[in-house]
Amino acid sequence: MRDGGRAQILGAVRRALKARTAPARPTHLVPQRARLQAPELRALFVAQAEGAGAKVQSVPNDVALAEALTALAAAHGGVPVVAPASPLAKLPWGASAPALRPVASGDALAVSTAVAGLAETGSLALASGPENPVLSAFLPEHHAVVLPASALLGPSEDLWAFLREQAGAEGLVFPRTLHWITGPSRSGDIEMTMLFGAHGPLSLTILIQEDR
Amino acid sequence: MSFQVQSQDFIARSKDALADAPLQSALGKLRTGLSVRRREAVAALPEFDALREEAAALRDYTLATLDQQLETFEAQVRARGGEVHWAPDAASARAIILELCQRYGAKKVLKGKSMVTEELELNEHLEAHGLRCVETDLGEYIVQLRRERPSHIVAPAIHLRKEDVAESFAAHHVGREHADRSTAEALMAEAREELRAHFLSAEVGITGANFAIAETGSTVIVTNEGNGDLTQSLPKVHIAVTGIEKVVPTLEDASTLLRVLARSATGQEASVYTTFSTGPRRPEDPDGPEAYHVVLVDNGRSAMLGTEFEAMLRCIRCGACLNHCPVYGQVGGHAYGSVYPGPMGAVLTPQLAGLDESVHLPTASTFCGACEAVCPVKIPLPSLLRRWRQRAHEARLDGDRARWLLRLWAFFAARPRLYHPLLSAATTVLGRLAGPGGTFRRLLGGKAWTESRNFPAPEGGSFLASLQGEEFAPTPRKAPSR
Repeated sequence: MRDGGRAQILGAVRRALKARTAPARPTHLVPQRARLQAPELRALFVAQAEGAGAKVQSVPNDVALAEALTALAAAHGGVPVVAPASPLAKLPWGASAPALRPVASGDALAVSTAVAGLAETGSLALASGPENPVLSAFLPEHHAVVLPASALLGPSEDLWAFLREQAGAEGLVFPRTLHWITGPSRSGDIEMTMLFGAHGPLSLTILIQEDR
Repeated sequence: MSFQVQSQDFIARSKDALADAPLQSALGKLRTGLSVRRREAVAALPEFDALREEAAALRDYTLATLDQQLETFEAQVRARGGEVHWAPDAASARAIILELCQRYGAKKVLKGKSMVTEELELNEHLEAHGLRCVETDLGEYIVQLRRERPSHIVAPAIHLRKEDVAESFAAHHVGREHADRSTAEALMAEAREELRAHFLSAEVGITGANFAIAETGSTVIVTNEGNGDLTQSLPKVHIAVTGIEKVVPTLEDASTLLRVLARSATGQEASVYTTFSTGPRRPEDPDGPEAYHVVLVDNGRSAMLGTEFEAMLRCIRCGACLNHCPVYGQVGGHAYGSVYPGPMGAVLTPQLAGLDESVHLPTASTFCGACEAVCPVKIPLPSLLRRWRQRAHEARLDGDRARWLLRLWAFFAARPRLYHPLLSAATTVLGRLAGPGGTFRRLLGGKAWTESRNFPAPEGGSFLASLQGEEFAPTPRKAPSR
């Protein structure tokens, strides 16, 4: 049965399509909205992300970034949880050390880094890997994401183009999980009332790291 | 047939639904909520109609090359360390998934929201074999506790009030005797705590897939809660179950479809979490599933290819046709007796379950065309419903009364010399007989209509007569008394 399933389905599809010539592929349209230059692109990203319920703040340097993360975690009664392999582990944390370990359920704040910000929708793109565990984005009560200002892109097509540029001989190098995150977790399943913090974090803070 | 429905009872269930005051109040929120949000999101994107055009053409292109797309997808999943399983029907899909759960020694299985697994009645099958299945989408979790089916493909618990949810939580959540269940916030916080314990203790996570990308072998899920991500990241095994028609060729194609999907479904510019899953975790990854399986389900889909119903395979399950349908808005999803309700369900259910099992569903439409007007992939839903009605007539499934009346009408309509004088006489008589306001409160044989509203009387003259130049002379009206 199981080995036959493939032949059965593909056979049925081929019989149904017979010798049909495929219609032309449609021209790919990218909305104009995010075709912008730097300052306007940044303004669009911030407006869209805030519109989706995220908080956005700018951090001028690494010291300010470490301070902002410590303050955020303290506001929720904890210290920032940072993956040991993350470059954020090497921030100048000063006297306030973060927790360098995998995130656990109930942690006050975990920190991720974004590979890109998509201005069209105010979304963050996160690629899973040692520096960026998937669960940092889902298990903590609150989530902070560091986005380098230079990683601001327009539409998601820019992200695909970026990944294609990096493609090696074996084709696209794709992470196990690629996330677009647009605002904090929510649900409208009870009487269509939209509420934050369904299963994932109750809040999302984006820290835009200015170019050094 | 391997798709079980209770659509024979559509008429009785609709009557119950119309008399169900709590259901009517719940449905009222749907009518004013999602459609308004969709309209605002569409207005904010000038290219929306052009994107719908592209999305429809893209789905047609993909369906016309479906065999190649599926083979490319399979090769890419394998190249990245995943396994692909092909299920021609529901029974084989259930068997494949059960075998995978057993292979990994699963006792508890998490479920992300997935309509195809509802179609397969997967939970019942796994539970019959001793597994515990936990739905993790808040709405799905609520209907699972109540042993109900989802009543909407995107908002499964749309038919319930918060009091109903509170009652279900009180009945099922142990050790929370004094919980405050008076607000939606409190209920969601309680569900979050209850489900978190399940998330941390399951061996297998099963999700659907909104899309399967051939280019990268990725499956894509779109959620607002984050439940799908916990479902597929915490357990050691991720099984993605999807219909064969959900494949798209490239990443850019996914971008286009995601743009129209989020806006059409919930009026969002983008859903909170759009997740692209590709293979199992890499050796250096600190988390994620150790095994990744994709189950491609046919279950009647390939039989629609090359038929007059092929356009239905474009469907991306956004639910916009449900949200805008006057019939769905009155009777809700359960009346349809199928996991696919509303206009898309009325086209899909006869195909998957057989027309004799679901003959009422294609008639549950006023042909107002709202479904087609909002469909992000431009499926001609009213035309497809009309074809099912025609088939029902040809197969003599439409009932003696309807057939007899149709034959009577056809007899006169085919004889214009008889038809026109009779019609003219009838309109004049009816116009004179009408009560105040030119309407009937009661009409012989028209009880179904006049029970809930007055029947308008003809205003004198026929369309044909005025077309031929006869003067249009409305019957004098008495002043309305109500």
